[in-house]
Amino acid sequence: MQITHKLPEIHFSPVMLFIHGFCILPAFIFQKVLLFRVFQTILFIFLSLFHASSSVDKRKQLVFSFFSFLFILVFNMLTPHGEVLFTLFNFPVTLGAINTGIFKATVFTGLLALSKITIAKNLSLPGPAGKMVSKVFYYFGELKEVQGKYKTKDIIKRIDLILLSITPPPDTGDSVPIEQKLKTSRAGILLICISLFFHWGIFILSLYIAK
Amino acid sequence: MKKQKSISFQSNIVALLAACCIFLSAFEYIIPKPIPFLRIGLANLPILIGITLLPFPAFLLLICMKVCFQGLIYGTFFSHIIILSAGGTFSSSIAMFFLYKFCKKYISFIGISVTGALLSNTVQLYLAGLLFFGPSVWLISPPFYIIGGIAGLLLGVFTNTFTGKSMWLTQCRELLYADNS
Repeated sequence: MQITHKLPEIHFSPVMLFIHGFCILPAFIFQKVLLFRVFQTILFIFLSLFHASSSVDKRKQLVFSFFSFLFILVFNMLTPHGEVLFTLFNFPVTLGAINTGIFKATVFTGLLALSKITIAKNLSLPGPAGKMVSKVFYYFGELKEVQGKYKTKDIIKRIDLILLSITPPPDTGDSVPIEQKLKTSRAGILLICISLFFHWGIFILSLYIAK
Repeated sequence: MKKQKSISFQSNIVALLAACCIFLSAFEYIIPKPIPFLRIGLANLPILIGITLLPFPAFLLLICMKVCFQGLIYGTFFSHIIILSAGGTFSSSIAMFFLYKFCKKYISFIGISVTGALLSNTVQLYLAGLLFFGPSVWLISPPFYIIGGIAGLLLGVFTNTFTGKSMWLTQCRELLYADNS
């Protein structure tokens, strides 16, 4: 059977993707300028589409990101604070609540997309601690994938089915499934450098704007 | 060989529970809070389940990972708030672990969880007073204790039901303890 690789798998090794994600994580989390944060989130969502296996998967991913963003925004608007922009059915819609909502929504959707870009299924970090971190991210990825798969009203049964489906048999050994060792191409290294400069560049710029 | 297999399975369970902590932390992050720093503590659910499955060193590893990953998700990893989070998590988790190990005949998961929640709040308020607010921090303690107690109660009820019904938990226990015997 012929194995077809997704675009990121051709140019980047899983370890390099992990290092790249880990390096840009602080530049995203500590970004205080909302506009930059929104832009970074959109970029992460766009890049995460390259990791999707089919066009249906891509569409699902986009719809999920959009609705989770909207849901968090609306949910946070229920706690009004700051300047009142307008009232909707006697409920004050405030600037502070919108800002908080967008801030939290970008963190949630942005981090989910970033983890999709960063954590390849065949990631294997060196050393015992690295192995443990790889395993945690592997299971996190599995949890994200299977969480919508089981549709039963009994929440306990649903959690049980999810856990049963991702728990490996005891004879699996100490490591999570690893396909093969891939190397990062020259184009891949160049793209990673551009990405690092970009994210840290706008982070430094945001520090000047905040002043 | 059997022991080796059991250790590797145990490390897989630690990683799986840590991943559940990250997942629930991310979910809790989106819920708006009436009081800043106040959390329901959904990520304590894997910790409560871990108590029934893991030996103390593996359980400590799970707590460390929960604190670190939660800090990364909330963006507090490089701030003072991680000290409050670590203090609360370590004190409550260790207390819950020993309560389960030595008093499980006399106390249910509801009691264990409520004790953990109240202890976590006490340690966090003490540290917050010590580091930021001074003694006046105790003035804001009533809502913390009330909400913490209710959240602890709900998590305890859920864990009681889950540990009674879960096939996964039974299977994990069998695999972990059959290999050790």
